[in-house]
Amino acid sequence: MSNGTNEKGRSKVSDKELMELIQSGDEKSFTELVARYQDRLLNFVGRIVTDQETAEELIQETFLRIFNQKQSYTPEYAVSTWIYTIALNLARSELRKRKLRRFLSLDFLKEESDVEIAGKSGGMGESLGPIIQKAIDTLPEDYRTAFILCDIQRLPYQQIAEILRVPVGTVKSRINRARAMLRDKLKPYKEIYYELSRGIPQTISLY
Amino acid sequence: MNCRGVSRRLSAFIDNDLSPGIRQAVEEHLQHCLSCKRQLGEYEAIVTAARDLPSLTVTDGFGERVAMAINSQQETKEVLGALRYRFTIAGAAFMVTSAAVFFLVGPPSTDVTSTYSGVQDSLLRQSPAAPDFWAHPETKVSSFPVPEGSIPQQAIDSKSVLRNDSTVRIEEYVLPDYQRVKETVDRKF
Repeated sequence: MSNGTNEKGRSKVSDKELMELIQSGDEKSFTELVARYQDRLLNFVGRIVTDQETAEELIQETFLRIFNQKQSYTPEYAVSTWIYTIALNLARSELRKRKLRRFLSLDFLKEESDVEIAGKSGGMGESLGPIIQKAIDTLPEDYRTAFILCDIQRLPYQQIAEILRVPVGTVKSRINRARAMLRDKLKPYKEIYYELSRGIPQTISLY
Repeated sequence: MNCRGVSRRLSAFIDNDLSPGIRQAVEEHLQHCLSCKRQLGEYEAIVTAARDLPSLTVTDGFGERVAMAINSQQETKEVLGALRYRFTIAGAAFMVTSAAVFFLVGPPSTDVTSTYSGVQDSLLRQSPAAPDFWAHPETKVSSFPVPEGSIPQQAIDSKSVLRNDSTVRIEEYVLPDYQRVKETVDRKF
């Protein structure tokens, strides 16, 4: 792949090929990488820091680091793993700063979030969406990150383990625990998600 | 498999991460256990709701802001690079000048005495006609002004003020007293 790759060709190349182009100094490939990852990272970082403005700043910083440290990427890992790891480190750093500033209540029902992450949605998720988002926000950081990477980002266990730098067994355990914690937190809303669970095709439902 | 065993495998069951044998055992349990089935429904509802969460999208112009941040960073780096280059050149020039001064003029002295004499020398160099202080007629010991009458005539006559004055004092005051004391002691003992 030469530096003269055109726009169309660039959008078809794999992440690793794109990184090779970026490493060789192709700026347009970097723009393509930003376009590929900006929303994915926002859905990851945004749900960790629960504030879109801060999340965008962190993602911008993530891309700056990617650009500055492009030569440190090795094809040993997936490009996405490398990018998620950088973003996660920045998000964790932000959370540490926040912990110093304020006390976070574990009671998500009484907690007033600074900025609500809400979006336009339709269908079954409309009523449960904001509630589950608040519930996710109150999970301990390790469980929240694992849950977001698995159930929102839809990444495989192995990649989550590489991003979090923990064994796969730990990832499975955290995801299991996070789901159990969410189930406990959502008990007051049972009616809503019983209703929802009826509409899920893969659910073996008795209701 | 009992309810406890099934309950802790429900998360893996949803993710299809169980071995075929265990999966079958869980499925068989779920066929007749209402409680575990309800629990599975709750887990699936949570997972589905999380997957259906509205996708967040970056605000308009995000890509441009990233590009601007990178450009601004590059410019800052260039400016800092240029400054570093200039400081390096200036530093090297200073070092060379210092080294030249050191070898041509010599090191600055740290000895107080020599520094003092150096100052004295430099003062003398500034006024080469400066007279020897002790050689000046007004400061010469021999010509120090002595008030008239302050030295007894007897002393002046003997040409040695100190010795003759002392001799006179001994002859006039000490010896008569000594004689008197000696006579008194001789009389008594």
